[in-house]
Amino acid sequence: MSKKATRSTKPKPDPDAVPQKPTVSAAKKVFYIADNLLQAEDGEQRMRLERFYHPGKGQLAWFITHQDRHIMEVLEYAEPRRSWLLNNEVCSNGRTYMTTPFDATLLALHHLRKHCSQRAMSLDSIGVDESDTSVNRLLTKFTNATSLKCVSDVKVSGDLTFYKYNAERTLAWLALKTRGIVAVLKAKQVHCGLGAKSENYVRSEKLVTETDVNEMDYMRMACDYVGRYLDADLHEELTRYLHIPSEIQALVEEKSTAQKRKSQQGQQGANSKKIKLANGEDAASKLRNSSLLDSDDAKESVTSPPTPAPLKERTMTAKEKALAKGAKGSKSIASFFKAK
Amino acid sequence: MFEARLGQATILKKILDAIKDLLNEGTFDCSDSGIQLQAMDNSHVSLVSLTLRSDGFDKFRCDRNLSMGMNLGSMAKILKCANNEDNVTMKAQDNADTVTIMFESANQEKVSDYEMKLMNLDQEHLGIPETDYSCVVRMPAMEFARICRDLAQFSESVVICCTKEGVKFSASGDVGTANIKLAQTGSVDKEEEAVIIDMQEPVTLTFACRYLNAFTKATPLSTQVQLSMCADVPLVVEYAIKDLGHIRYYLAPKIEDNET
Repeated sequence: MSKKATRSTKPKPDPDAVPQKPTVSAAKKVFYIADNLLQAEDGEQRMRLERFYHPGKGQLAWFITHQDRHIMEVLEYAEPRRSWLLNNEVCSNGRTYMTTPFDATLLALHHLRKHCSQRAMSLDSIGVDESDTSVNRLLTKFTNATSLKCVSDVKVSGDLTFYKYNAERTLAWLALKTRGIVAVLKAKQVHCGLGAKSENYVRSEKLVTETDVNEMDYMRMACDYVGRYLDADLHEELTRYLHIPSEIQALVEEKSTAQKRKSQQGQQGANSKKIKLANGEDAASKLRNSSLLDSDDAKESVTSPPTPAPLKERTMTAKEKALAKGAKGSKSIASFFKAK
Repeated sequence: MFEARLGQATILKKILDAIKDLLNEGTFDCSDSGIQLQAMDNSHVSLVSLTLRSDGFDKFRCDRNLSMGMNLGSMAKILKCANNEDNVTMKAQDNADTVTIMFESANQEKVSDYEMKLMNLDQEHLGIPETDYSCVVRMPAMEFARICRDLAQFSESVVICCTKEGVKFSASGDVGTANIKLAQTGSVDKEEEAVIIDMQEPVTLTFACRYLNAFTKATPLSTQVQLSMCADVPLVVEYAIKDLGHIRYYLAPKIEDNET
């Protein structure tokens, strides 16, 4: 999806309603915010810019909260050498901030894994001993019980609710999210293979086969989208759970088999040429078809077997072998006759 | 433009059969004096030298010197497609990457042509010095083929010993020893059955039997074979191709006599 398309589909920026970030030196910033949120804003129901721990970034990140119920992610588009012209004033900071609704469960997941993997805890007791109050605020205000049920075992005792992190459920839930993204990517026909592809260049007759082949690419892309909001180790778990071969792994395997082929020259059977993965898919052929390989690499792997070198070393016939054997003990003819 | 026409395809067939076992590919060097091919076998123990003179062809035209690298196996396959009595014509343009081989039946009713890709072979030519050989033996080609075949059963190497009494071929191995002596024929009734020995000084040399056997593939080309020997110099086995030229095989001697 291009940036331009995003801008045109989102509500227009309203310079008057731009919230100001107090701690940053630049005076004014440009946000894209849904219209209804701006209208609802009055009195104490103002939007707030808050910092929560972002598992994907591994540090605190800015989020916009609204009415202590909604939480929105702030995405920053920072292009170099951009400025805004607001009324008659030039803003040196030309960055654009997008706000999109956000599932706080993804943020809560980090804390649940950290604190509640061994024992069940109530939300208000998590992170109370930390100096950062944002954890407590996040868990008590913005998470909702139904979502948390998807990632944890819930135990209710009286009016207290305790949560214990459940890895299996979490992965199932994340897989569901991933599949949802796959559906969206497919519906929008986003190119998910490696390398760039022009949006308006359509290869009509190949499109059908390509979408079929690119299933794993969509999955990988979607998984990476989800993984952006997860701890690195949880992202890895999810990748394994979905049986997504990593691009590098697939590339390395392809390369090593290519080398094998060169050095062992067809002495091994067809088995060595194909890596069978756990899900029974032929990674090498998939990789080739999915345009993950650079065109140069692909060319090399295709053309390398019939290079002239192996041709010269072709197996000798029995006659030739016998002749070569007979030649043993004889001097080279070239030692008698010198080259002209 | 290069064009060479032979009355009988069978000669070319025999020539190819004589060299294709030793050489996988070779370069036909064409000039207005004729066609020459010189190449070593894969093990670089023997050298094949083929000379076909231009005046031996029915028609010969070579505007520019031309080197045609050919896969001899492919060439032999093409020649198998010819009938023995067919006329054969080889044609190539200057700087062409293919050669056309055309067969015409005697009554011109059937004409077939085959085009073969040429190869770029980087083969160096060896200069063969003029040598005054100590012994030159002329004998029936069939007899030589028979001797080589028989002795190959006993050993990998054959010792050729040439004295004024005659020429002796011997081999010894696990089975036992074999000796075949040929004396110069006294009265020559038929020239092709004669054994003629021209000896300056006696020579004893050892050669790889398999190579000698490979050389005898040229037997159909000629009734007589000429063996030229000199100490520590390659043996020359020469088959004349009547009215056309000759094939010479050079074979390096074995270093140790008793090595099998």
